[in-house]
Order: sequence, then structure tokens, then C-alpha cells
Amino acid sequence: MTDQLERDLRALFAEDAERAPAAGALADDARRRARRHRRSRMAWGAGALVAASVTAVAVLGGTALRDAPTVEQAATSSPTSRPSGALPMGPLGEVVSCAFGYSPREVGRSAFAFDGTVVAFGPAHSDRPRGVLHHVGVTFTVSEWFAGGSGPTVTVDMPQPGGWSEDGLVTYGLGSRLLVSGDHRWGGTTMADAIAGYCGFTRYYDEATADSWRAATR
Amino acid sequence: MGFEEYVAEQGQSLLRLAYVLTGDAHRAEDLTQTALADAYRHWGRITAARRPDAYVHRMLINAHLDWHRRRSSTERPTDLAGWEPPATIDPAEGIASRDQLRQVLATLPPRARTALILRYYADLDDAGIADAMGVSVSAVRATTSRALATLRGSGVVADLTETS
Repeated sequence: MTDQLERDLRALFAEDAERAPAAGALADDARRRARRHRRSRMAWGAGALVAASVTAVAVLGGTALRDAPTVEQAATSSPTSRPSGALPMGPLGEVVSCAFGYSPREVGRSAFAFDGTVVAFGPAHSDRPRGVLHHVGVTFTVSEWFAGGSGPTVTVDMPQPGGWSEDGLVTYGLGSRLLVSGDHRWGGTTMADAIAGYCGFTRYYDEATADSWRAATR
Repeated sequence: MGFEEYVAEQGQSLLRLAYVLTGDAHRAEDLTQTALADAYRHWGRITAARRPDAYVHRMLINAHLDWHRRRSSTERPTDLAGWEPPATIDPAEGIASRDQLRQVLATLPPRARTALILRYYADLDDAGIADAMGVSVSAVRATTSRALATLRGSGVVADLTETS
């Protein structure tokens, strides 16, 4: 049965919809925006190519999680090629919009942020029947909590290392030291539904970035 | 169907939904373009989907909720238990217009408001709303039922009935 409130909600939303602006060149604008997005990714990709190639060799060897190599192993031949910047992990085929670009300030608004080293992989813990991301649960030993958590270890869901993402090959493994920020996928209040942020919100560790996260979350 | 053809057919409808969600023309346009840019990048996958329109709607809803999530990491999307109407809404003073209902709606958590819009504007059933928002059907039922209870508790219903 439809009650008065439901009828009023229908009328109100219909009234609001009538006030919507007219669609102009939506298709052209969307294409332009998509091209800008692609160009920015290509620019980032060129800079990251050398670093990615080192770790790519390491992770392409196999997809079994237990065989995931360490970044240290990959980097021993050339210490200067240690990966830096954003972890390429935009989800392939998932419905995700990078509506907010990465900045330390935006990290400050994330549900959690920490500096940690990958020590184990396991099954994802945030999937539900209607929301499956095909991620893995990645356990970190935490060097420092910036926001949203406590304790020496934490597990968050992330794309599997060695897989392909929208940003390229997902290049990290056991021993990788990462700066991870993210959100509670289902609005929880504990780390039980924690998922690492895409779009630059999960990054390879470097001291300057860690400092900026510390300042943003103070 | 090509991307351009899709936008020509569905663009205005998407923009209307975005406007109802945001209540702001600029943000509605930005949200629609964000969703369509995502759609353009994945167009091959979208046209292969059983219901391309639902796919694009999900992109739009996701971008909308993502915006709110980034604005407030403290939001509890499906938990309205602790939420109370703001003190300025006093049932004793009466709420006599849709504008006031609009004000009460604006105080709801974004996910609750989005669920109501998908039900009463987009005419989606619980499963459709769950699909669009990426949550379970039971979460949709709990969220909408709490949101409606909150609106009823604010005195909106009685006053709207009296003035309609």
C-alpha cells in the first residue's frame, strides 16, 4: 500500500527532476574527459615504466600467491629502481570512479591510513554475494598507523599481485613496504571490511610521502 | 548501440537522476560526465552486459556515493540507528510544504537518501537498488525502512496530509 509519505516523495523527486539542466554536449564532454584521464595515465605510465619492468619480471613468473616475490629481491640488482609513487591497482572491469584525485589532504579524509610491509596473503574478507571484487586479503606488519587503526598487524583487501589492473600490472609482493589508505567498504567501523584505496591512495613507501600523510592525518 | 547513440537516448535521463541525487546543476553535470567518461572507457564491456543501462546507473551512483565518502570518512552508510532529526525540525511547529520535506531529506545520510531516490524516483525494486548501490537486498530494506521511519517521525507526514 502506498502511503502519503511515499506519494509525496514521488511527487517531490519528480518535481526536482523537472529542474535538471538540459543535456548539452554530454557525449563530447565525456569523451574529452576520458581522453584526459587516459593521457594522464600514459604520462604516469612512462615515468613508472622502468620501475614497473623490474617488478613485472618478478611477478610474471607465477600467479600463485605464495610464490609472489619480494620487492627487495627485485630491487637488489639495482637499488635505484625501487618502485615509487602510486601502486598500479585500478580495478579491471570494476565500477569505480576516481572522482577524487590523490593528495595527502584526501588521505586525511580516508577511514584509515598506515605504513606497513606485506607479510602474508589470504582470502578477501570484504566480498559479499552482490559485491565481489576478486581481491585478496593482504596482511601487513604495521610500522606506523596514521589514522583509523591500531595494533602490529592488519589485513586489508587489495588486487592480487601479478594481475592486470586498469593501471597496468599490479606490482607488489611479500616484503613490499607500502603506504596504504582506504575505506570501510560496507560502512563498517572496524578493519573487518577494510579495502585499500585505488586511484593513488595506496602507494609505494617513501619517507617524504609518509611525512606528508603523517602531517595530513595529525 | 554506439556510445553517442546511448548518450543521445539516455543522457537527459541520467542528468535528471544526477540532479535529483545532488540538488545542484553543476554537480549533476559533473557527476553525469564522470559516469559517462567511465562508460566511454569501458564501452565494449558495457555493450556486452545484459543490461547496459543498469551498468551505467551503477557508475553514476558509485561516483555519487564516492564523492560523499571522500567528503566524510566518518559516515556510517547503512546505520541510521543513532541518527536523529536536527533540532531545528520541531514537529510542533509543523512542516507544511514539500520544501520542508526536502530539508528533512537533506539531513539523511547520503546512502539512505540515495536509496529513497532510487525507489521513489527511479522506480527500482529492492534488488535493483541493491545492484545499483553494490549492497545486499537486506541492507537496502533496512536502510529505506529506517529512513522512512525517520521521515515519519519528524512530523512530515501528518503535516503534509493536513496541507495537501
